[in-house]
Amino acid sequence: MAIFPDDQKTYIHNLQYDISITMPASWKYFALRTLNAVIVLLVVVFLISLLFSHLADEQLEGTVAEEVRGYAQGLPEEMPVEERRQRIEEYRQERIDHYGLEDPFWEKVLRRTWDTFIFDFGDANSMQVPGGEGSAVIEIIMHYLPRTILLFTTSAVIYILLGIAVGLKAAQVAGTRLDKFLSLFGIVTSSMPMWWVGMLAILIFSFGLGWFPASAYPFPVGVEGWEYYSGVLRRMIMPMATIVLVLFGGRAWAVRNMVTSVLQDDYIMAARAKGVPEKKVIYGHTLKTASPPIVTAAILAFLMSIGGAMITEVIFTWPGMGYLLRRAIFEAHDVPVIMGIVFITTFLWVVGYLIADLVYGYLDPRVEVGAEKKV
Amino acid sequence: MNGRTILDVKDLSTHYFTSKGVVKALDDASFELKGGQSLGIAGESGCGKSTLAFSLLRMVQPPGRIVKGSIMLDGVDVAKFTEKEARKKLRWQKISMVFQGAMDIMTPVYTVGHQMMEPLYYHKGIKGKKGREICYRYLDMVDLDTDLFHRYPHELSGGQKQRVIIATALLMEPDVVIMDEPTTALDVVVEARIMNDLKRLKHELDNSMIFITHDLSILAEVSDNLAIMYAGWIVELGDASEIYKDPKHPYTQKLIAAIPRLHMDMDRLEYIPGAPPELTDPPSGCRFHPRCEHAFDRCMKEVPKEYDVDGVLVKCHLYAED
Amino acid sequence: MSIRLEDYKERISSIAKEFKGERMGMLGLGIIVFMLILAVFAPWIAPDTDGRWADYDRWADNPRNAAPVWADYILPGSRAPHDIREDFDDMPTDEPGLKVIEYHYHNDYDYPPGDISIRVHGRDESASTVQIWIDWIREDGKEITLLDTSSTVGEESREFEERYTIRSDAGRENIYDWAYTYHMEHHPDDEDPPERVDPSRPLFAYTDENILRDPQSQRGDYVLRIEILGEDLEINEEASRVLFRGQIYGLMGTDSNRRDLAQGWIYGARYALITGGIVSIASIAIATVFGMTSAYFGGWVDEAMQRINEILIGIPMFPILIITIYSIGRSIWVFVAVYTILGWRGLAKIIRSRGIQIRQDTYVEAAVSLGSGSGRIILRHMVPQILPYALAEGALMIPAIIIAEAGLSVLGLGDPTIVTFGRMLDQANRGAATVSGYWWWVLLPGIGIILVGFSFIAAGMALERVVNPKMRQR
Repeated sequence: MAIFPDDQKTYIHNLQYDISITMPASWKYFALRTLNAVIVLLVVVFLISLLFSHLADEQLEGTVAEEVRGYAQGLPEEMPVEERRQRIEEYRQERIDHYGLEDPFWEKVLRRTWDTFIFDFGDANSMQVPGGEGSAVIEIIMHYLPRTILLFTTSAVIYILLGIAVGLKAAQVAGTRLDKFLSLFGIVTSSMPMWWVGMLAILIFSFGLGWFPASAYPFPVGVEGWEYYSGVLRRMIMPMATIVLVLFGGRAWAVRNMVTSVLQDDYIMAARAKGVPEKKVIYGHTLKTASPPIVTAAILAFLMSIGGAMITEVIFTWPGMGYLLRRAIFEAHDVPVIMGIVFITTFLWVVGYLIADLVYGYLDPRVEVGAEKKV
Repeated sequence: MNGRTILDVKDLSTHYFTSKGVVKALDDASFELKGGQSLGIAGESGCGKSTLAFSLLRMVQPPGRIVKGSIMLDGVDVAKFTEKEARKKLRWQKISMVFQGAMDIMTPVYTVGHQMMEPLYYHKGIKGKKGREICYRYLDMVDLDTDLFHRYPHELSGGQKQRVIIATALLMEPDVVIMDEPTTALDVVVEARIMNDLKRLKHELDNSMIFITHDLSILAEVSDNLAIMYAGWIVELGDASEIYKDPKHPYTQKLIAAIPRLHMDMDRLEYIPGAPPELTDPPSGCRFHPRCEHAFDRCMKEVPKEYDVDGVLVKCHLYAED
Repeated sequence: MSIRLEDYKERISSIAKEFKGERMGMLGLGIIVFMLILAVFAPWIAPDTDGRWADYDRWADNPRNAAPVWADYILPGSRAPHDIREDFDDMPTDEPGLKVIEYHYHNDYDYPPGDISIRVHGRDESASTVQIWIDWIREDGKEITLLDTSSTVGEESREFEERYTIRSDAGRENIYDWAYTYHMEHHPDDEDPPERVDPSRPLFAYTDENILRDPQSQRGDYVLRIEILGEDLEINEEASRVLFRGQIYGLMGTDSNRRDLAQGWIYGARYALITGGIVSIASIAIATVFGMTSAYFGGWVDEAMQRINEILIGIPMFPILIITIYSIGRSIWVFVAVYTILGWRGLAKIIRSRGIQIRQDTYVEAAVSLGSGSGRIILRHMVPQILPYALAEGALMIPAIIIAEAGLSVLGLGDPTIVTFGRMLDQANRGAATVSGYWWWVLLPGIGIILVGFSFIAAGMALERVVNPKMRQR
């Protein structure tokens, strides 16, 4: 289930509208889309910086206080009280200047905006790079991100392919019981929170049947080769099956609707009348026409599922971005880490959105060929 | 080819079996078409014209199917063809069709050329340069620039698209070409130009044609014979000029009177009261009787037979000999 | 300029008539109405729940982790129901100052009560302490002294109170010591006996070799005897009671903090409808105004509005919700506000393109050429056309809204002052409900989310089919 499926429909609608009515020339289309993406990213980053400014400042003040305390302890004990106080005060000021805490509000916001925009998230407040040195936010995120990508992309490949195959089948038997069942399945799974299905899966397969570990954490350590991979796979099966189960029905349903709407179009009837073999009608005329929305909708659904899938990670304690986010929010209250995760998520979204746009433009001749050629 | 009977349709009935009941979209239609001749089929929307056309092409979509009758084409009953036979031997080989609604009649992701070449390839295996040359010839015949061959459908205007469709319908040189409302989606000027082309093509080519339209004024110009349909029945069938001059069936009389003519007093423009019947539950007896001003007792009880009146077949009790 | 009801009336009645023919739509509508009734009457059906969800005293009398009562019908074995004894009738005794109260419990269950809690409250005008014994007399005649203690009487108030549960440290010790003697009879070599069974289970179990390992419920009559010895004793019957805490409770069971999930569920439905309703109605309103203005004026106004909308559509909802709720505050109203601010954008796009079609309708053109005011044309002619369509689209938004809210709860960004389905599920997750097998705690709030979501999708899609004939072809 996409956590916010409403946007997807709009998106497709939006694309179809733009393409059929305004029909921009291809370079203009690509440039416009890219510009749009950059603006969106800047707007969001600015918003993040604006909203998190005071929280980040508070945490930095805490850091400064900590550093000053350490500095004071390091000073020789025989130092006169006056000098001691002065030295501490100087050091405090130096740290405040270092972090720019006394800069004007807007300057701080804009600086944070830019730093975030170039992936410079600074140091985490209290979290550490697991198994590594220091506490750079980007390194912490990089530690968790690959697991998220592993889980997501594997699941996505499965549910998208399964969704297209099943959706195509349903479209060919539209109106039958099988088709109706698949539609109902798609609707019901669309109104299920993915992570809740994960909880049920743990109840049934971990508690009830004991087939899989309820928690993916800790990841296998100290083993290599086959043992490592089978350990990872054993932990991955349940979260992956959950994602696939919840998302493929909706995908199939969307594909089915796009294909049936094409199948109703007059050119399909015309192709049949011309004696084009049924296979060619389905896999040629129909699928080729329906492919731009199918592909872009699949990308969109994938992006849309990121939120739900991150929460699913929390349920399975799969040590990825969602798990990190929950810990940063709930246990560590680590503002720089939260900002980093939010930015990375937004960045992935915007890039994915742009790819969806460009793929649509590539697949649909109505976009590729410029309007100026129209006779 | 001329003069020989190409198409002989007998008692053709096509029904749709919907959840709301059986829709008798076409009942006991019989007519024949000679080589080089053209037949016009007219009637209000929903009278079964398109169902007739689809039945001839064996393209009736479920839940509809042909329940009765024969379609003899060159001595073979195509009503008995399997789906595969229909695709391989009938469609576009023997009968081609120009569909109504020119706007989305071409697959948007294929070029014009690809779509014109499809029947050539699938029926005759012609492809490449040879196929392209055939297509060019037909594009030229419908007054189109051969450049269009490489274009996508969205780059064509409505009129251009319709000409491409007509060219595609002709290029296999089928025995019969069905034109289902070929000009309704177009504006008046383009419509007139295409009609002129069709008249010209009718003279140039050897095909028999079936014109389907709700607009009788168009048929007057292009058809030799005329069939008037009402609620799934052919109510009048015969020579076009004869029917124009002296319509026999009350429905035909109304239909012809409803054609707006130049210099006519617009106040007196006729219209037919009431609406066409629901075909799930057609009126008893003659299906036209609820709207007919000549209706009498018998019309409500008995389905009229077809009577030969001056060489025109009329399905009306008014012409009963007994 | 005003909206006349007549403009809408006819259209509404024709839509209502067609909607009645949509089976799924009517089912969805039925569920919505049911949930609405629950939501409206929640304060009466489930009193004292909202705002006291986190107040554990509120739920102190309930059993912990009890399954729903209907679990007995679908699962093997029988479970003890929740049994509260409010009466405190003492038996006549010869000794002055001694009160003896006996409770008879008939155990007829495979899973006997999970806990026994006793509260004794009284006064004694002269004694400084009162002596309290609690004994457990079993079907087989064996006796256990559960408690032997003295309770101090307050110097000023002259009152005393004793609270006892067999799960308390003292209670457990006495039960395990008693059971240990039977265990040793069968396992003489066992030096380190298992002590991990629920303390209530040996109380009701056969004294066989399994008493500390896998106690088997022994059916029959049991007696709980409470003896109180003071000097001038008076028992406050109002404040005293005995609880045989059940294994099953209510329609939806309880969680590990004894909260009645059925009461929480009713509030979950209430807040789901409130959030979903406000967000979707507000989004419909903004989107209709935006989309219609854009469609009506066209030209550069339209172009500019579409560019703005395009940028808005590119903004991802999920990260924005996280940052705003984290930085502004964990409140349902922040969620509602943010979701509305971003929620209308897609709808506006759809409404605009429908609006363009309506703008071209002859009668709208006619109204324009007759010189009617823009606002009047939009309200009188265009809005009535678009409204049912917008409503359908708005209904389709609702599942996503509720799922988003629930998801944020699991991330730790839920509103801590109210009860939502998401918050119940977050508590289930943190309370390890999944790995402990408390299926009702996971299943039922989730079904709440699905029920709300499904009902609005079903009703929305039916309405969409009714108002948009193009979708009816198949």
